[in-house]
Amino acid sequence: MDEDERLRALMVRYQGGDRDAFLEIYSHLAADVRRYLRYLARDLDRADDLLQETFMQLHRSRALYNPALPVRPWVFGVTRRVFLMERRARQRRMTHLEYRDVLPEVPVPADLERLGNDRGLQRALSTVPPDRVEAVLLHHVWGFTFTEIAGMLGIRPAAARARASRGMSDLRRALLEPVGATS
Amino acid sequence: MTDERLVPSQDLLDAVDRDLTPVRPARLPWRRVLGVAPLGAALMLAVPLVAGPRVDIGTLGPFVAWGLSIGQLGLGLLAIWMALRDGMPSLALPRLALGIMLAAGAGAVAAVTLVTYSISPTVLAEGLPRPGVFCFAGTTSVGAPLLGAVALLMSRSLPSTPMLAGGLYGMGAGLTADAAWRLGCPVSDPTHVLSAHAGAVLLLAVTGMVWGMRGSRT
Repeated sequence: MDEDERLRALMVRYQGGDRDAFLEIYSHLAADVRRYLRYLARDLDRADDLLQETFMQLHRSRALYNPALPVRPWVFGVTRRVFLMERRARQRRMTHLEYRDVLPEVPVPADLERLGNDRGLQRALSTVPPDRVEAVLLHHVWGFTFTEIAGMLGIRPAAARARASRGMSDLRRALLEPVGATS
Repeated sequence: MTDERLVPSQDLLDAVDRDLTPVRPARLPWRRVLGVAPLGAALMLAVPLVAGPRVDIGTLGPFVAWGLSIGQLGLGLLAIWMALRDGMPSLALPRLALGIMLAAGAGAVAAVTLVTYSISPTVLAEGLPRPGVFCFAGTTSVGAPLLGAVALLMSRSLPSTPMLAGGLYGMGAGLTADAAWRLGCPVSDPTHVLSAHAGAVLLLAVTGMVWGMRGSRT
């Protein structure tokens, strides 16, 4: 049984009222969800709060899940909605750009790691448009297909592919540039 | 899991323990639309059956009378499907597509009005007491049950853009209501249809938007 089938079976058990199934889903996905939230929120404490809120929302909306759908994109989609709801509730209209100075450590695609050290990677990430970085992370780090990314972000699959591709090019270019050239 | 920040909080565990009632998985959006389609069709049939068909239905012919109404009903259901889909966290549609659908709905009402008027130009009879208000209230009343049914379906959903999704299902209910009402209203004058009928569609769409925004805050 592959990961997706296993998660779908757990979701069905959870919808049937199985507490252990919820805990298994949590332990399986919480780490990745938190990494995604760290990227979205740019604030470690806020990301930890939102992690709990995401699974609270998942619990409230468990009836909304249909077993015909893969679980990971669904959970990441809930994560994004929770982030957006929280942002709306706080009536913050800050753009990602305004957060850039406090960009926390986020995972990067393996083939970029050899191009620079942690600081260089974080600097490069902060220079690339956030929508492209998000597509890069979702595709190259968490392995979502472009169709799944499109469903999570509300864009066309072709747009998801273009964002990820341009994001990777931007990151490579930023990593190969000498420090100071981008500032 | 060694990182304690990755452990579920006590609040979360309490919330799960408080409510572990088995739930029925939601059907996919297209199946839920099929669930409300009979209500839309019933409303469309009810108006000419209860109030009597418009007097010029013979002049219009089956395509312009029934065909355009069925087409408008289909467009309304498509708008509702898009809203329901946007409410599923992993099935969001591009915002542009949602915007195009809103524009298409408005365009459809205008196009149906102009086609109908070009074939059978009927105007308001002198001395009728407030026909615009009657048609506005009638179209709104016909659309209200459908709007309520779809709002109920959307109540637990998580749309990416709640206002847009609300506007879409409100417009869907409005298009369906107007598709029904035009089969009974004998006036094809664009000033009447685009104010009274389209005004009701707009009211239902705005109600959906407000509903959607309120839902996103809870």
